[in-house]
Amino acid sequence: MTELFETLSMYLEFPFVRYAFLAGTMIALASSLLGVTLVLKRFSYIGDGLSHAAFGAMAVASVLKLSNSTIFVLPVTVLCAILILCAKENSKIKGDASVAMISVGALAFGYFLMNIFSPPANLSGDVCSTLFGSTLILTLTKADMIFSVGISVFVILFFIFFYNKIFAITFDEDFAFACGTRTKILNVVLASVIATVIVLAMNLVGTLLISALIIFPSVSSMLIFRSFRSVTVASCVFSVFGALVGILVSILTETPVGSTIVMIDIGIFAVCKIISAIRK
Amino acid sequence: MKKIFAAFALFVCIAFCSASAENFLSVKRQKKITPTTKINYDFTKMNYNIASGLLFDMLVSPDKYVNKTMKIHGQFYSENHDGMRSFAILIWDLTGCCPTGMMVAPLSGVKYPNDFPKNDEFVTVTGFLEKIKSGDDESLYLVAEKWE
Repeated sequence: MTELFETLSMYLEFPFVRYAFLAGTMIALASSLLGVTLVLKRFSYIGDGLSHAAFGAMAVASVLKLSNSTIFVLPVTVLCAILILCAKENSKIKGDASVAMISVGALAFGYFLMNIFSPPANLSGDVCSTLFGSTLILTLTKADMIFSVGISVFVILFFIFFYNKIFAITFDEDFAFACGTRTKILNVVLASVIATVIVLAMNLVGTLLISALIIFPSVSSMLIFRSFRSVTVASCVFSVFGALVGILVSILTETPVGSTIVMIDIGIFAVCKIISAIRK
Repeated sequence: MKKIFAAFALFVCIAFCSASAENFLSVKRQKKITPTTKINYDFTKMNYNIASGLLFDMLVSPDKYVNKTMKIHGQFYSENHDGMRSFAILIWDLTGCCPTGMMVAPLSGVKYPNDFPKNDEFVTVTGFLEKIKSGDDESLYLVAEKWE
């Protein structure tokens, strides 16, 4: 046990490990706040589609050799989020089909581009790390960490300031519209914020596992709590706990960071399910 | 006759060796690793996650690591690119998909391949970190003082 603490204190001396804990906590907090709304609005799969779109954008940024890929990835993902929402309302292509099209299309396009135009020494390693977030959170620079924390704080403030309106459009969009809420604009803003969180969360769990970060804490809290507020708070607690324990376990036991966090989230879900079953 | 044959054989050997000699970056010995030298970054005591994070940090902000001591255990990798041979030590993750590594510069005076490990052989290298200019790029190298 003493050896474990010694190892941990040695690792914590490295700034990038401290950045990982700080950024990971904030990203988990931001994603869980929006997760509840996404799950209740039946938009769970949008997170997955947007994360794949972000992967495609990241591939383009890598081909263009952009030093800061986020300045390109973020607007493209926001645009895709708006496109998906608009498609849900207007297009002949139904919502789930448009999400699936953007999702697999962007994933294939990204991998295709990375192979054709930018063959680094270890393409499989880069792709593996981006898709599954094996060690991405441990490669954050100070600037990346400040950016991640800043955007997370913005998302949290957005949620707090627009709490009532988000609550209204989550449960009954028509009623919210009848009450004077500009639901279309709010949906577009919400989609943009969700896309922003997705881009941030790519660093924590990788492209393919983002949905887990958004869905598991929300669904787990819904098994135990009933009101929107308590579900949201519990979701934040579960998500932050999962991220912190996941990062801690992965750096001590050499497991991939992204999948370890998701394993912890699955564990929390199992415990909540048991508690819920006992209550019944 | 024997002397002529020996001289001819020696000439052929020298010619062959100089023809096969390759260029590589090397550094003059300035410091020496002793058993009492403190190792600042001992990768043999770190797991892959921390090692890859630290190696990435060395790549993006090399200045803070210059002159520090480092010990790394991994797979020796060498390749010849446009007549310039380069060396690296690779660390593999458990899935074997994502290797990461450190470029190595030997001390001047060593010969390739005699004084080097075989490709893919697992070795432990101890040395100092130095920024070395190669072409237009300046990168962080581990100046290999000790091979084990």
